[in-house]
Amino acid sequence: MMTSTAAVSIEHVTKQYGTGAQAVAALTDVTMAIPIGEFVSIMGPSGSGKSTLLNMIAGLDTPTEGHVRIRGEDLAVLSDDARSDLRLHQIGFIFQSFNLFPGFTIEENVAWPLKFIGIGWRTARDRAAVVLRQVGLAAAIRTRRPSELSGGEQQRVAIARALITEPSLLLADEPTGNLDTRTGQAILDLILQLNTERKLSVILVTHSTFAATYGHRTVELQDGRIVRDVRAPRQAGRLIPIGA
Amino acid sequence: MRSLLVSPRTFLLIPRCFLRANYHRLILTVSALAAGVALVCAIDLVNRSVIEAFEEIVDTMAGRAALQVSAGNGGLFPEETADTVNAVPGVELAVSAVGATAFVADGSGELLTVHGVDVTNDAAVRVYQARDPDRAGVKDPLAFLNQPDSVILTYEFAKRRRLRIGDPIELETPTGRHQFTIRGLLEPQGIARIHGGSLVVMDLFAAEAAFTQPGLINRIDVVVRRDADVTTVAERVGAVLPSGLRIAPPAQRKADLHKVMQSMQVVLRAVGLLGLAAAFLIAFNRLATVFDERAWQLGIMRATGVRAWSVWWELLKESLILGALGVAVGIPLGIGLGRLLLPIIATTTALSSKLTVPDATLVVRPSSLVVAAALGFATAVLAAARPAWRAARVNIAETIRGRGTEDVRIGGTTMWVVRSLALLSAIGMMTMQAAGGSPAWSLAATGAVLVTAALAARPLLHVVDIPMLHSVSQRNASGLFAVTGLARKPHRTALTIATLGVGFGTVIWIWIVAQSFEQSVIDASIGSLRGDIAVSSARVNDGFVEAPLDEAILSSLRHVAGVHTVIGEQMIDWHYAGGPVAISSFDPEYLSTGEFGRWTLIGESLPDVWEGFADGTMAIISSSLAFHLGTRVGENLTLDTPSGPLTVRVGGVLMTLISPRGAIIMSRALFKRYWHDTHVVHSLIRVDKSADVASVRASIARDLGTQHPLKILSLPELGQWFGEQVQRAFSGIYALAILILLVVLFGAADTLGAGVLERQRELAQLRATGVRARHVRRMVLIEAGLLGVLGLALAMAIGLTLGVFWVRETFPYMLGWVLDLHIPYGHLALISILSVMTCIVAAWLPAARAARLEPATGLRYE
Repeated sequence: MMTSTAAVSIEHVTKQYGTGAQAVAALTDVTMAIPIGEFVSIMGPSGSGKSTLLNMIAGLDTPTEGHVRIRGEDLAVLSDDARSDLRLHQIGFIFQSFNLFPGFTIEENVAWPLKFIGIGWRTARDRAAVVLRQVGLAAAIRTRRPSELSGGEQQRVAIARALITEPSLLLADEPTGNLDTRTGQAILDLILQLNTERKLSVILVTHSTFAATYGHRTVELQDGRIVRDVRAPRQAGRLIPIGA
Repeated sequence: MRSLLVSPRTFLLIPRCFLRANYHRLILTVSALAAGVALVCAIDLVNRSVIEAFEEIVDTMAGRAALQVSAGNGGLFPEETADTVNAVPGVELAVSAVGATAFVADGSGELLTVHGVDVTNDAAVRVYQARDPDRAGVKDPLAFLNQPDSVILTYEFAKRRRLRIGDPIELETPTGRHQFTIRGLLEPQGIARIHGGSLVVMDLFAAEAAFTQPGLINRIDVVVRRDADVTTVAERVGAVLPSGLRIAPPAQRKADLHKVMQSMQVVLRAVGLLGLAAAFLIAFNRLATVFDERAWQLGIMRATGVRAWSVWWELLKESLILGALGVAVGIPLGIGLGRLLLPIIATTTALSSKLTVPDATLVVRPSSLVVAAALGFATAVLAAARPAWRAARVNIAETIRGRGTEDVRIGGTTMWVVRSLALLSAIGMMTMQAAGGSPAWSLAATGAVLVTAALAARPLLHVVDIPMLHSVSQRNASGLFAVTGLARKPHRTALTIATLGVGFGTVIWIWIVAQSFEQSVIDASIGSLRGDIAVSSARVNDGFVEAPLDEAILSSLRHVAGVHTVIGEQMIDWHYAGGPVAISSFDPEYLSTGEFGRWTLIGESLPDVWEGFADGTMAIISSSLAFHLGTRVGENLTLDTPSGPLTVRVGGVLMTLISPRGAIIMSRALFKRYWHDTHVVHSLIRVDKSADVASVRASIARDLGTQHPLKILSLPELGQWFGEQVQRAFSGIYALAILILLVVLFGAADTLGAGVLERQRELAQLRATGVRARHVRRMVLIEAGLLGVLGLALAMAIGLTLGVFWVRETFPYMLGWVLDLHIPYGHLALISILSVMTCIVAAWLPAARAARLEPATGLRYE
């Protein structure tokens, strides 16, 4: 039985696409719990079910069998709107391809989620400025467009957007996949810093063994099943010092 | 609700941010919306202004008169009737009047409205809010009354022609050209203000001499005492009037006017709505494309926790911005377009309704602007609603991963249910209309046909997809890419086909209706008018009806060398069985001698119909009358005439288009006896066998041309002339059809441009692999051609369905006209070529852009 204080608990989750002979299992009987404040790295080859698992946790997809709970709330019993609200307030999402809106300025890209919480635009912009500073971006870039920034800067903006609603859980889907090694490390350092300072639960999906070292724990998936779940002493950020 | 309380800037924050990146892509969508709004706005403004101009004529001509006594439209009755009316309790004053038209005999043929009234009766003059003769600038009142050639003109007219009091002016009247003397000038008020100053006032006696007959008038204007009830007085006057005379308030005349003008207004409204429908489809198509392209961004919003309905609402707000832009551009455009269209539509309406063209001024009414703006917003919002809902409900995970791939199925059960319901609705509404419906049913059925056709575009694409793929792709590589490009986005392709179908379908529909009308008029006129030569006034009185001439023209014609027989025809508007009809009359020998041949009657007829017609015991009715009133051959008709009831037996049925509700054709001898009308509109001539028609025409022009401005035509030429009048009547509609084609051009260019923008990467890859620029250009042009052909196929279905529906059902039931269906095959071929050319023209810029694309630039594009 999973503890109700877990940030995320996954109980016997199975996800199948298609039916009958054409059914393909993306996940099979996956069970795991992620305590509050834990940084978990999920690894595995392509098609192992990493992204599917992340989508289940975010409530973007529903399991064929089993339950996913966020802070004790079973996503299966929540309506679509309630799941949306849960994401808006409790979950931050970072994507591999940054997914910033090209027509928006940097400030707007970060601030817009607050508009859907009901926060006034002036306050939202002020808060965006604070978060942008926290992720290491200069105030001068606020009025620029995503296309005018480097990949690393764009990913920092994406992180700022994920943090703006002050979530308790950060989901990162290959956040360094589109970045060079040094920039990728800087982003991972930032995520680690957020995990450490804010006690933010982090689930990082990655191909990279190096990126996985940032987690307290590494879960390895293969063919939709957990094949390894290990805790390791943290070495993150020590291999290549920033600015070297 | 919360979001509604914030400032517009904050309210529209997200949509503004999204649109910022797409403004240039939405210019054509806004243009299409603006064009649709402009069409609706212009048509509403013009319709109201035109009807107001006609109403003003009714109001001003009636002056203070609350009631009018008349005998049909221009029927004559004795002047003494006014004394009878004056004696009715509650009547303050009954004014005898002659209303007619004359033309300036200086070659310009300018039409003047004649108002004949007893100018010695001060009270009578004051009824029309005009000043009395002394104040009207009549320098010598005595001379005015003593000289039957005295006329009063308006200052405006006199100034325009540099005329002064005492100058002569020659006018064309039914009895020929007559010289009059200007004895006074009217200030621009009362009846002098209307008709743009084209008014001539003369004494009643002179007017009777020139336009009716001594002692006969065609109108009594009745002023009711202030303390009397108008309805009661009308009933009392009606009770003392001889049969055949009717009393009605000007308001009733305005209501009648609305009915008469209804046909043109309904057609115009339908055209405006079709323009808006095309704009709707263009906006729908474009917004669906824009939202599709942005699906990943919406997926991000959903993944971040924004509810589906919030996403939908934000997208809908974008449509509000587009709608606002479309309205902001469309309203001024509509006002400008209204100013341009007003004279055309006024002429069109006057021609189709057999009325004198009014001097209409465009009045910009806020209500028209509000209606157009509301429709513009509604169009934009409705166009966005479904694409936005689709976009808001996407599978978040798949959308973020795949950045949106379109579902290529042609719709699930729901869509087939919707298609079936649309089809059933269209059939149901058309059936309701056929069962004796109303303008509302007709417009609703037209809308339902359009919706059904638009929904059929996707299955149509599916049906032709495979053969099209094979036939085009096997010819060249550009064709293969073109077909693949269209098939990859079936939803958008289908919408484009629907847009083209609606646009081109509207044009085809208009052409079928116009051609059917024109050809039916020609056939009907050729069918009833026989002879070698037709002579009539060169002036047109009301609509397309020639000005009447005194029957003395017939005896003058008989004296022309080479003329063997002359027959006179007179036509007037009358009332029968509670509605308007036309009375047409021919001299008895027209049909009895057989010299002019015999009419081809429809169905059965009485054996002695021609003899009965000649001796005045029988009449022939038009097919419209038989259709509307169910009158059959052998039945008796009883008409109220100025001389009392007239009963005639129906001897046969003829196809003729004199009046929408129907016509009664009788002997002119009988008509003259009962209506006291000695005018003729047409003189039909059979020449001597030895005579040459051309030389007889020349002789007529030489002998009688100095007295009357004459139109001397052979019968086929007369038919052609009628056809030209119909073409004039439809000129306004044709102008609107061209505007709709422009809207469609925007739509096609928009879709093709979007397709090129969206495929920049793919096109760049093609260029990178060595495909030449001209092949890429050809690919886009082939796409356009294929879209044009498919759109045209749908347009044919829409145009033919609506064309047949309007000719067979709408016109007879709603507007009165029973027409023969004429499909203009030649024009259809031309429209087909034009349609495909329109698409290719629309594709020209996108094709050039695609061809110019640098491979490296395109590959960088994201």
